[in-house]
Amino acid sequence: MTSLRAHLHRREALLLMSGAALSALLPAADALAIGSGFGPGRDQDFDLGWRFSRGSGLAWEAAGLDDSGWRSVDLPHDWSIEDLPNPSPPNRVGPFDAKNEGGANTGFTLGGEGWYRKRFRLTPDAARAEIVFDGVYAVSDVWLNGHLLGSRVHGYAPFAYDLTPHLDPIGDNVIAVRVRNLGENARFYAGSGIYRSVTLNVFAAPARIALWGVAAWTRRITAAGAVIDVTTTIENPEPGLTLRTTLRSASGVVEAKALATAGGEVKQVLRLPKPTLWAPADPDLYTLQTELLRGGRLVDRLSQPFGVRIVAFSADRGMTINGEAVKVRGGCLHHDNGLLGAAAFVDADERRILRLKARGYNAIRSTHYPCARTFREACERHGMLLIEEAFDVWRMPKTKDDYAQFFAEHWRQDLAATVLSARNSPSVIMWSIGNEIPDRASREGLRDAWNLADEVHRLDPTRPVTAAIHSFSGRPVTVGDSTKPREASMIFLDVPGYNYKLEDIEPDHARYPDRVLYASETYPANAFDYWALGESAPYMIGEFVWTAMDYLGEAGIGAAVRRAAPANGAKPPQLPFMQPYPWVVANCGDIDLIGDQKPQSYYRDVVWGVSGLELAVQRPVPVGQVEAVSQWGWSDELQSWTWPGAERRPLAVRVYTFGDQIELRLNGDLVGTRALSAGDKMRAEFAVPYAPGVLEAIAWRQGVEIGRKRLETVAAPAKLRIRAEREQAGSGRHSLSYLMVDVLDATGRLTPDAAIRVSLEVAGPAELLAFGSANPLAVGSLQSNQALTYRGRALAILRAQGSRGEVRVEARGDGVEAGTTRLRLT
Amino acid sequence: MDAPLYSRTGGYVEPRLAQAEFGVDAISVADLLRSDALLAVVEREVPGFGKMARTPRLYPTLTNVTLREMASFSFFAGVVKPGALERIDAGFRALPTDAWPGL
Repeated sequence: MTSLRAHLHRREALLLMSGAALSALLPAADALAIGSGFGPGRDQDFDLGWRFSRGSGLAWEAAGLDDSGWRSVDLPHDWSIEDLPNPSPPNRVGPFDAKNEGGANTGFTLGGEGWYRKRFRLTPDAARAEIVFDGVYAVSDVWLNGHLLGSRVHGYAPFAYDLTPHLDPIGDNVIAVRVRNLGENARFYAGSGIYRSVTLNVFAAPARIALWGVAAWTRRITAAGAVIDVTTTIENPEPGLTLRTTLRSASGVVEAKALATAGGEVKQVLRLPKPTLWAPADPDLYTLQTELLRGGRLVDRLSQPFGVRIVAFSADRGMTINGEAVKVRGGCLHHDNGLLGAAAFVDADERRILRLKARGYNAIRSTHYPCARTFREACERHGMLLIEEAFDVWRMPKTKDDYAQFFAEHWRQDLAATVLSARNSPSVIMWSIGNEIPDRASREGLRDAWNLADEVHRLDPTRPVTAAIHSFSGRPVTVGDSTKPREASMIFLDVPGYNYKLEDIEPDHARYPDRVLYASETYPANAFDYWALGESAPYMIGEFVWTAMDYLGEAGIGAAVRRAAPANGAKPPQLPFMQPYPWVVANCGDIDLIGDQKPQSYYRDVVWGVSGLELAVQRPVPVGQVEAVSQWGWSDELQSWTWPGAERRPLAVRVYTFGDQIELRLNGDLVGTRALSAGDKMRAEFAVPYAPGVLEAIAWRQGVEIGRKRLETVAAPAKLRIRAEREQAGSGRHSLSYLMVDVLDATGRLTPDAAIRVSLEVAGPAELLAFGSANPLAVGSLQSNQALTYRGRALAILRAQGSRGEVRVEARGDGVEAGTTRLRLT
Repeated sequence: MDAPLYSRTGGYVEPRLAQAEFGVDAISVADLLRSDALLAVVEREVPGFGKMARTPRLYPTLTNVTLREMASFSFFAGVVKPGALERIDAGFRALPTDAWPGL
């Protein structure tokens, strides 16, 4: 993945000095030595060589501060995922503390205050410089050489500062960043620090393309080709400047070009006679290149991915992409990268997208804030649609110290950063102005909704405005001369999102037949219902399950726990919304914290047609107890037929299939058959007395066998296997390698419920960045070389140290044979 | 094919409540708390409801839920007795329309 970086991230550092050839590029940003000067060029990697100190101190922003005692860190960096000092198991382990102020919301992790500092120099030809932060959580203040540049409060929206007024053109410059994550400010794990990338734009002249100053969109696609409108904003324009805009194919060929005199705002039209279109199934990308020239010499150049596509919405066809109807198979996703916390690495974000694509997902709702650029670009490369969401609150808070305190003053700035930075992305299909916003239907809430929608339409008139509406949608209202009432929460939305409102969708369609809508949050158990509705209702464009992947925080909202059986066979009481410590993970994802499928994912595979048949077994429930499952959860099932101690007890065997006939066999003997109809929702359950051996399910559809699944009883854990997901990876500091540790029995079968403490030894030019499992409970550090396997597995994540070579990794566990593997960093 | 555009609508015009059916499913808990007449109907069935619902931590939730939805929440389990919602609904419908709060 990192090998793609130079191509995909367009991190060209172009020499713009007088007379420089266009082809004279700086080395890849990763190769820049710390302390060497930054010359003219855009999007230069500024992630390496920072100093960090947790806590606060007097005048830590001062240029002359001696920070040599501070820790060295390379970004992205999230201090909330680091081990806490003075561990005291079980209430304080790894990054988790049962007494943390954020509680279950933030997965019992800690925020606080931290400072970052970085020294850098510029080359003599650098006249201006700008620093771009892709995301800092939560409140940040940035200084250059002791001068305050500004503050930001959103936590997820990108921002930039012009460094020019306070630059030392020949000496050291010092950037200082204070980051504060204080109080109860999030309902989920947010992380802390500069957790997304930082880049530097350096210019040789005052004239430049404005920050996020290019707006390009496909206006028309016909047999004659595609027409793309491009509007470019130039800052400090001077006479004699030319704007050249080109579209290059993946192979680098210029396929469309427009030239214009560069003024403040320039409108151009690109015509592609034979466009290659972007779509989820075939995400072909062009490079949109914007160049500012003076007399043939380059002054500034900006390159960004661009996809030629038209997305439209209508009640009679739903969502169409380039004229073809596309159903959304989507998931909501928080930003954390599991064991890495909030740190946004290209490789980590790409891995998430690939895991979801493999499961049939074609869309992500970035909840409840804009995603990282690394994630968005991975969506573009792999054909993942994206709803970018700006806010989780407006004026009324959800937690006492959240963004609501800043909304009135900052919403316009933060919304603009969200929209302008991502408006050229082919993946982005809608802008969400909010999620389950409190007070959205009051007079003030309606005014805010209109302001936000209007501002989005001003910034980007090419995409609809949405919001995620849950529960009561508000009383019917009308606006202006309209006599058609609509619910107050939806009156200013182009495409409303329905959170958990399955029962409302068809009645609402009857009342509002022109409405096109989607299910913006759904329960995993309703996968079939939404799929079936989507198949029959064109106006319902699809669903976003809560959630596609597990995340830190909102601890235990997807829990399945054991409770004493109520008397008289009554239903167990509803679980509370979240679970107490040691729960730290939400546990509602289709995919777990390390990227593996959970049982709800097997069911979804069947519903979405990825698999014809899946088989799982509920963990035996002790006598006198029942299993209580939350609305976001799933029964505690495993694809396992290894249940020592449960011999002869009837176990719940769940079969998922889109077949119409199934058969279940145990050790070759027929256990049962079942004919399935639509009312079964692709599920069947058998009670099978447990006996070790082989459990096999076979499914047929219209008499044709469509699947056969076997679960075997495995033996005791005997050895460890460690496998690198890629045998070869990049050697730059942004390069990650994922290695899965499996606990196997003597014959090499995965032991699906093994919990073994494993220690890891890494030799070679890589460091262990994270090591842990998918366990939703706090069981230890996520950064030490020891981890407890969960369901037979643990995941190690290595970060390259910047040099090439072979890395050897050995996994050792008590009483089992060690496993080793090697990977090559190039 | 041409791409759609989502144009701005001009200046803000405040929405007006449309004539609608009244009842327990037609108003948020936060809004009913603003009407003494509506609250009195609820209090007859659920004594102490107003105080309970005005808990600051709960209030943001109440702006977007009806009484029926709130009654299904685990933290309200058992608070609203069987049949109470139907009686409250009938009580709401019996009130004059001006008992209902504005936006």
